[in-house]
Amino acid sequence: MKTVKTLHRGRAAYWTATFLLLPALAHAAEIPAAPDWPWWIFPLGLFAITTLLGVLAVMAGIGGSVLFVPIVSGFLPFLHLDFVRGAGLLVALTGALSAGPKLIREGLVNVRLAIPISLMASAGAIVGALLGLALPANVVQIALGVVILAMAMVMILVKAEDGVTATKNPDSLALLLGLESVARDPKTGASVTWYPKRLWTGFALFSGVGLMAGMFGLGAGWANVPVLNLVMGVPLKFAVATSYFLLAIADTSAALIYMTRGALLPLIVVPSVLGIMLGAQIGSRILLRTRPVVIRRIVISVLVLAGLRALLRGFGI
Amino acid sequence: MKHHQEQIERHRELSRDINKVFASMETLGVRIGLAVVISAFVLYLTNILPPVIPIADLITLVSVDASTFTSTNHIPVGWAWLRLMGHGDILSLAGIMVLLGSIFLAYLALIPLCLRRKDFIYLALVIVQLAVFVLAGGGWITAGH
Repeated sequence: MKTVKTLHRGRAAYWTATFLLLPALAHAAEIPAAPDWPWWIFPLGLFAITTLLGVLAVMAGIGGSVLFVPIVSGFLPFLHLDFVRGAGLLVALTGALSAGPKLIREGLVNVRLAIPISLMASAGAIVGALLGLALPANVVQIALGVVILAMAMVMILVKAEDGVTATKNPDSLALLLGLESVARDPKTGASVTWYPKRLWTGFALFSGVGLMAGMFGLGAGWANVPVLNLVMGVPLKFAVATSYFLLAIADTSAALIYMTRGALLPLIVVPSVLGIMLGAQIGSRILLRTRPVVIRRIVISVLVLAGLRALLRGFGI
Repeated sequence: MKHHQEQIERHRELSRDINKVFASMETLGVRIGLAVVISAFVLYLTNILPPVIPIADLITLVSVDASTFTSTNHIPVGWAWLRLMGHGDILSLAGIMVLLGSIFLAYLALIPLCLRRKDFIYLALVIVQLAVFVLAGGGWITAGH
């Protein structure tokens, strides 16, 4: 009975989200002027939207900026994407900096691995930020739509690997960088010595992940964790923690580009960062009393709609 | 074998040191950065420190790209905003800079750690990362609409 009720609640929330986004889909081609509101509605509204996004993001187990850029650019279409992406980077960065110290102190971040991959990701993020600011808005919108849809696919299809496998023959680069780590296998409880694998592939992929983070201001935990876990064989717990570390580094590089080009506006950045942080606090309390699977499905549906909307806006439909 | 074990222990010691530096710098960065951002933002919203562009006007100006926005409204780009710290909006940027600066300072603090542990590969990686930050913030690489 309880399950049926939760399912009904999940469906109701799904249709509410769909209903909210449909008008945006219908008016995709229009580039409206700023509405004639009193100025204070803008930061207050942004704070309210981002608080809600913060709640949803925590409950769906994703970073706030992943929802921030597509949804805020959808709800506030008079705001140019440059400023939304700049604020998105700050939302991702503040989230990473807030979660980082605890994870680092608990020894979950593999810093010897994080330093070289952060370097690749931040080089990519600079290129992405420059591309994002240089390309016409409609091209960025189309690319954003594709990336958001890809992200939703990753969330649906990719299942993280929870075990730890001992590395018998670590590759020479892993040995040179001294990447040996010890982790407890959650299945057997035994301590296992492991090295990350496929380092060159990982480095190349992280340049691409950084490029996306810089270009779209999305943060990139959704891509970092699968690359670390599934491609490089980093145990899940370490992959999540290391992802926060490298998010902070890559987003700092991209944010510097946005900042020195006037794309960080405090009126957008500050309410967004505070809203997401408050939402994350509320979300983590509600999380214990809800079914994250239902929330995750709702968030994926919202992402699909937001991705379609970005595509339509990009094509001027 | 003994040499390999010593090397692993040296790597672990450096990792522990790096962890300590990052944990403290990130904690400090978030606390100080957010304190500055929130205080400056209150001064900005209450007009105690008037902004470069009045808030009511700003909302009507943000439908253009960043490059057009800065050029048509004479907004300083690069680091020229540092000269306008008496304005609420610009002071809020300084708080954001503290957040970004905490990462830069953490990397800077890794240089003596790597030197002390004679880990020259990581020393090189740290220096290149710092160069990437400087390149990003320096405004030398340009792109525009």
